[in-house]
Amino acid sequence: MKRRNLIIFYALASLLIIFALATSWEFGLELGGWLPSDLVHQNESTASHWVHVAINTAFAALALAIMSLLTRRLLHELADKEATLQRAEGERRNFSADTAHELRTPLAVLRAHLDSLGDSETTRQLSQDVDHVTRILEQMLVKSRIEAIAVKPDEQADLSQIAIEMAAYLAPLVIKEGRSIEVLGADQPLMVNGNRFALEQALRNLVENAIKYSARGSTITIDVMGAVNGNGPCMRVIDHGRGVPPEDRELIFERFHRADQRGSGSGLGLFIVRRVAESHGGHVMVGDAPGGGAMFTVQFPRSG
Amino acid sequence: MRILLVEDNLRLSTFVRRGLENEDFIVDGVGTLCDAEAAIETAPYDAVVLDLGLPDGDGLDLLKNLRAAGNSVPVLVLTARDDVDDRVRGLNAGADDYMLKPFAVEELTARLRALLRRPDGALGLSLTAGNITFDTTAREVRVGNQRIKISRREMGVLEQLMRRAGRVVPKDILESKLYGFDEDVSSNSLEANISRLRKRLIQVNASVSIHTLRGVGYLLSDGNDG
Repeated sequence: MKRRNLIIFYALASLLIIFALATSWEFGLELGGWLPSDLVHQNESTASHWVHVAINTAFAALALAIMSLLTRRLLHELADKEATLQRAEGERRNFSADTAHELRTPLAVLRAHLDSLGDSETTRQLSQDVDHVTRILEQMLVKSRIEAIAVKPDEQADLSQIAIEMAAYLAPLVIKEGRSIEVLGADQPLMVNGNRFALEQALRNLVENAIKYSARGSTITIDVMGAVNGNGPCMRVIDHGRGVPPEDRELIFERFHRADQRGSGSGLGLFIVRRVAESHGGHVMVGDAPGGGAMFTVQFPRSG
Repeated sequence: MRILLVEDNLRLSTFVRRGLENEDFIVDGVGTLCDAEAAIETAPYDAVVLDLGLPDGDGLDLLKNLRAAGNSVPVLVLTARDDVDDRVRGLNAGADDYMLKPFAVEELTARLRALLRRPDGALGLSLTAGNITFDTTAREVRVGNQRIKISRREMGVLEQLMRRAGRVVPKDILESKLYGFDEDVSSNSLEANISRLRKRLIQVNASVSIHTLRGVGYLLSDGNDG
């Protein structure tokens, strides 16, 4: 509805109400005059007064009807606008997800073509490049999905299960890269208020990070711990690599920050970890691992 | 080993087909649901590789119809969508395995072989990893051409690890496969068996290694992986 029409309608309704009020007031005065003394004209004036009352009531009712109609329409429009906004936001979020999906098939063509060319240094190198692009794509997808995640108050996730399953999932990669992996403290379920998919992605990124920055032949440790000493539960990933120097310990969680420019990562990994930790009301930090290396801790709030 | 490949992207289909044919599979390629249905009716396939997004519909519908008609041919689903919901829908509809695009053709063939190796699968009951072959009916293990003797338990461990070669076998699953309900499993006996088996494999120059991943499980890998 146009703004001008709206104003006219409201003005009309207001006029009606004012008119109704004015006539009632007049009626009230007359009534006031009538009550104490003028009993002679009682019958006559009562009749005309009731006509007044009827007319006033009709006007007031009409005005109210118009007002409520207008209000209803306004509310409708508001709801429509909100839906449009939400749709736009959803579309924006879906865009990167859709793009990523659309890119999967051409990448699959590329990868299958390379695989069909047989083993040579060039095809191996190209396959690695395709894998790299694929990983960036996956990270974009994960990022757009975790941005949409709001952890519901009753949503529960088992840190122990997530640790064991993610370690099993990544073990072939870990072993292919000449490292080993272990999980500590996951003998019993450890429930936190959290979103399983998001937590899996956070852990996956921490382990992939550990593979990249640890030495061949070393073991990557995932450690889950329940609440102790006033701290909430936490999930740790420990590697025995070169560690993270103190001046970089905030920076590495920024988007597209990379510790080295070898270009083997997407620059989104640790950013995703931080985003997940924060969406769970917790935080992520990095320190020195006992015996050298990096120790990443995802700390959950106490109540969780 | 005859495989039906249902994939509408012609180039992808060509390369995957070439990869499978190099591994001695016989491959029929179709690009629509309609052709796939016709193909399944006319020829007996040992496995189906099924893309979900097809021009004339959703591959999942084909899968559901197959299962509803009592056809249990192993189906490996290929998809560009990786939402957990999609995966669950696929597996609920009766898919035997699930691969996300892009994928390595080598892994596709490995997974297909794993499907064909299932108890009622077409590949029979011989397992291979590196230079080891395991005949599960005759209960014979060979390294190269040399038959080796190992204990019944060690053989059981090796079989489970070879069935999932390259992937983790959780400790509790291994234990439940190896020991009866009322058998007394002392906590170290699985580890003891594994370490004896590991020594034996090194002794006979097997090209695989068994990794112990504390708190996770065990994994048998091709030896080159260290």
